[in-house]
Amino acid sequence: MPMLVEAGRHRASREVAERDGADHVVVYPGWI
Amino acid sequence: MDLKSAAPRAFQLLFLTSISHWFSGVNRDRPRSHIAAAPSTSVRAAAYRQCGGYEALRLTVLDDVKLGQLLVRAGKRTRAFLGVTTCNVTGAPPSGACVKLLEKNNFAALDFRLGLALALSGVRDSYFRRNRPRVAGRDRGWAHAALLPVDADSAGEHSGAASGLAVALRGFSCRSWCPCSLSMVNSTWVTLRQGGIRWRDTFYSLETLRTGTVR
Repeated sequence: MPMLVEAGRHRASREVAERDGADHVVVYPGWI
Repeated sequence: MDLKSAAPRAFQLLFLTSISHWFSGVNRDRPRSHIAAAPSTSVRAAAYRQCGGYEALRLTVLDDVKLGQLLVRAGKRTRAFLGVTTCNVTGAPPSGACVKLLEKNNFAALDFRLGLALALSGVRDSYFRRNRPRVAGRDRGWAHAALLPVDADSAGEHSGAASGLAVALRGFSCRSWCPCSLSMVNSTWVTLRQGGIRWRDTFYSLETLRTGTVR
């Protein structure tokens, strides 16, 4: 089950959502 | 995924390359383009409720991808990016385990269509056999190495022995392609042999999955 949160918990996602008016922001993570 | 070694790095690079058109599609608002990454997806609550959410996805294997599809159908906007500096995952399995991890996913990604799985394999093999003799010269060798990882062996040969990077690319690409290709074959074979997918102590028959998935 994906971690589903309201846009805003992840700062970079929030910034992209606000900038582009997006309802759905997907981040492909880096691996460490 | 231990990215301190070459194989998992190559695997991830190939995977991201293979879905680069997904990024391009959603970020340019192309109709029907959608994308997902299960552990790092943010959705506005109102948009999630409007598109139907997980009630509509209850029999869908690739629920993250299909959620993206539902959102696009509901007229919502998606954006995607690589979060290397802002979002990291630790403790991932080695690249070989990816074959097992993708066991339930790859055949489902084709909506359980055996004909499509066979056609894709046939087209790919046919393409490589047809083009392999034509690969000649440094530039074309590089193009092949970049675009067609499974043929990187040929590309490396024709890029010239002096090009150490081409040789490295050959090994890099071959290492990454093997688990990718194998995972598709494994997923198709296991799903058909079992007659469905077992996930977290529950067995879902192929018939149920085919009728219940979001298309």
